[in-house]
Amino acid sequence: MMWIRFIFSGLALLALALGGWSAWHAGQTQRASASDVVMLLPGPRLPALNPFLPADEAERQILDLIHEPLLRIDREGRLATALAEQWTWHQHMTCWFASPEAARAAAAELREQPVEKRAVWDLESVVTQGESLVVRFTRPESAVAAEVQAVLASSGPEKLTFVRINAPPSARFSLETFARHADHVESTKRLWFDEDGTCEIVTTRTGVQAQQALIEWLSPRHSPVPEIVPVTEVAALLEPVLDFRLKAGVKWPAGDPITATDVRATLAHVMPRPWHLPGRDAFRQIQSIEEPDPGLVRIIYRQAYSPALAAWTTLPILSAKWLSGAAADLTKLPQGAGAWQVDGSDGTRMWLKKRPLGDALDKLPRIEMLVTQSPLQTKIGLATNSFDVVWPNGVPQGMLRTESGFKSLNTPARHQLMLVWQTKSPLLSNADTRRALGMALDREALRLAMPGGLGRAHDSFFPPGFWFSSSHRPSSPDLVAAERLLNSAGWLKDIQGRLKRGGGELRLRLVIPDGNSDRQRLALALAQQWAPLGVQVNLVEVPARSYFMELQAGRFDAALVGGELAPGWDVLPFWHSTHSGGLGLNVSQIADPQLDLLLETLVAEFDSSEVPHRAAAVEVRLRELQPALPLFTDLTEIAVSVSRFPGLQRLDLSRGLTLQDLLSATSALTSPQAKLQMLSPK
Amino acid sequence: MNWQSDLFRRVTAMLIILVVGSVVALCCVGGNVELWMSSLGLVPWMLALATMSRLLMALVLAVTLVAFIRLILPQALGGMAFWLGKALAFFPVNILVWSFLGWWIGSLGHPIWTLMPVTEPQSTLSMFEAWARWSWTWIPVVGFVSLPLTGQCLSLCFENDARSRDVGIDLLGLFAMALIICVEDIFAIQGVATHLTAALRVSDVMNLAASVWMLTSISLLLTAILSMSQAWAPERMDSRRWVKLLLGSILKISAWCLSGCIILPSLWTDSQGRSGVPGLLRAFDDPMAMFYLGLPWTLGALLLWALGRFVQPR
Repeated sequence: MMWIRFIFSGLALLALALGGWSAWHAGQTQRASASDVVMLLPGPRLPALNPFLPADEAERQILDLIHEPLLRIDREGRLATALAEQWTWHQHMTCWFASPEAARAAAAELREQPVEKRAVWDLESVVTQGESLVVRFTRPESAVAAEVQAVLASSGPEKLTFVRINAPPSARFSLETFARHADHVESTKRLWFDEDGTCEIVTTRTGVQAQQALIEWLSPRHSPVPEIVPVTEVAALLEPVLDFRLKAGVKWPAGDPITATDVRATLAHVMPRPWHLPGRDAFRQIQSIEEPDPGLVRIIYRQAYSPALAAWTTLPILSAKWLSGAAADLTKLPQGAGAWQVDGSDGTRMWLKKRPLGDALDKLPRIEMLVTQSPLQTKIGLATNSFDVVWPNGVPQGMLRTESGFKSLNTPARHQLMLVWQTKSPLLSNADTRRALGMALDREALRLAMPGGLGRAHDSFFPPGFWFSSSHRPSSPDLVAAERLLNSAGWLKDIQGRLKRGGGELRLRLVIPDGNSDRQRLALALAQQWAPLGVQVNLVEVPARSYFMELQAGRFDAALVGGELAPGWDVLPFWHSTHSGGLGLNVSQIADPQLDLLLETLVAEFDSSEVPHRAAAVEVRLRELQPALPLFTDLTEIAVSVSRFPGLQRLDLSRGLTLQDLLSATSALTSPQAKLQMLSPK
Repeated sequence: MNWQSDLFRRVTAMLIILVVGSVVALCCVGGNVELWMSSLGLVPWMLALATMSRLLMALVLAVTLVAFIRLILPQALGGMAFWLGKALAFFPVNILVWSFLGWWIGSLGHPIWTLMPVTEPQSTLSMFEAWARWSWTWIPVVGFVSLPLTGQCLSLCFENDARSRDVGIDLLGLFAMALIICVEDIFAIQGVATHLTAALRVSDVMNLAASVWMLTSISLLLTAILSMSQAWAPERMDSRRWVKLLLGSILKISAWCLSGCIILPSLWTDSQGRSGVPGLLRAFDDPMAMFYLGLPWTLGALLLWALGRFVQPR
């Protein structure tokens, strides 16, 4: 029976050899360099990819690959091209005349003006449209409109009356019908609605005539008749105009060209919905969107508001054709105009592939995005280098720290947290007191009080990372100087070490929204840091729902206020006196004429290269006034496989890393992506 | 024993298994005959076939390995081989697998294809690579089932007591089934175990019934294939010997229970939707520490088994 034993032995050795060989082969297996870029997403489900409802930073950045706005913010934080290759601001001045002949005569009069004068006026064109005359200036803030109006005065333009109707949203239909009616269409030149239903009509009738016509129209249709107020009377309508020249040949994946219709349809789709839309206020100012020439998108605004430009960096443009057949809530993935498109999904994984656009990145492999079902899979994926990009909030804490092949990088900031002072409070009405309280704080220690220490110290009233941002480093705590300032403001320590002035102690009512443990922890850290100064803190938790109302009512001395960083340089609503007194976002109740002027100048600045100077002036004034103390911006990390992205070193990561940037770093030899800087017209 | 009586015993055992399996499956679906019948789908049988194939391969590998060891091992070292085999059989297989995975994946960074969160599509692989990858999906499972089986076969091979040897051989199939349920579950390979544990975790009665059917089918096949000894044949013994036999058996069963009690909870441990995850995550940090965790259980089981062997009459 010996031979049977040998056969058995042979079988065993054969099995061992087979096992050894397959184990050896598995050990030798390496991912091909051309394999998909694998990205682990925070689970438990794949993102829905609604372009207007990103759930987290990961989804926001994926959407940024799929969809394209008209403009982008580039790596240096400056405005850069996207769907549009050029933008220009203009100003339209529209006058209405009694007849087309009168309009033409007025136009002729303007054209007969000396060339030198027209050049000084920045006059670009003079066009008649029926009874109206449209004068186009090359600069939106053109101050010479009054001179032009003076020339036109002899031609007898009709007076325009602005009439405000304080109507509820339910009256909108009646008012729109009014504007279209044969009796009123001639005289009604513009019709605007605000979110709350308030309507403004621009008419060639006098205020009384317009009021009477509206009352007659509305009384049988809408009860009670809303308040109708003639606001002002002007000779011409001045409207800023933003022209976008679309890149030649930009198309949807289906092959249709991208046009102004798509821009209009996107806004028409998103504006009525309660979705989060950065820059929504700027979009509300839009009067109309036109396409005077193929490839030209003309946005006509109601009023001069320069930050409206930056709002276009956050609006992904969707296809009008697609939107016409889409569900209202975008349950189906909309096709995007971005460089990447969805290439399949199977419940736990989703693929993106590069659209062939004829650029250097066309050869990039697909992106495979997945959510793992357990920490075990995550651990295995990390250990076997299966992931190239990991969003750490999907990974249990500490797991990533042990992996040496990954580098954690920050993504751009999205939210900011400030400590707002109530400047009308008897305790804090003196700016020195507010400054002293700020000086006593150790920002680094406060940052560590944030969840996981994930916060970036940010000491500016403007968002970080833009060309107009200022980069102040938070100063170190200086208790001695803080105490000196407090003493000079009349606050002296009593025998128990408490600060008192005129018998009253410096006891701050620090307000935070309830149920927010992060804010609570931060508030306690603040109280702890002020304690050595002798400042007492009453920590008050206010129901989150009524938190803002509490602040507007001024029932606080200090409050922690967080908010999303708006995509522009408009900080006017937070600090302008017209927004204080419980009427707006200026909860610090700061009211300073110089600051108001600076803020107004900033939002009226249409030259992008001048915005940093204007913003710096605002920043300086705000630092003097100390209506708030900027604390942090948020911090989301992204872990990146160093070996997969050899070009990572040449990226400027000061503004934060985006997937757009990262994908260009898949090769060390890839030359930096040339993004043409857009220059404002001089 | 002639072949007619052997056939009779096998058929009887198979019938008993079939009836018991059917009743348990019926109980799983709450006595609903319609559900009970519909749980007999094609997919469970295919899974059962896959598991059975792995089981048989593991058994064949164990037997051939033992034959090889016996060929090269001097007879004088038979006693040592017996205890080494027993120690290998008693070593908790889940700890053995976790330690391996901790070392193979965690320390070396090498793949186990069934556990990988992402793999390259088959279409991008050459035939050779695809074949190597396919083999590495089931070879670790077969290997880790065969290890304790080899230990058990080795100890049975050098077992002097004929009754103990016969009982051990009779229970080899049951032992193999317990092993493969645990190992398949850890490796997350498609089979009876993954089906059963998934059903247990989400209390899916239909899949639970289907899993019972699968186990029944495997048991039927094992009963048909493995030899049936006369270990359970009645024997004339006095009461003192009966007590010793009973006590010894209890001690030996306790040894197996001790070894099994660290394995079974892993099938239900489910903090994150998977079994054995905490244990396996620990193994990634320190595979050897995980391995040492199994030694006290093994020694304890060995001690109990040695006591049982000492007590039982020869």
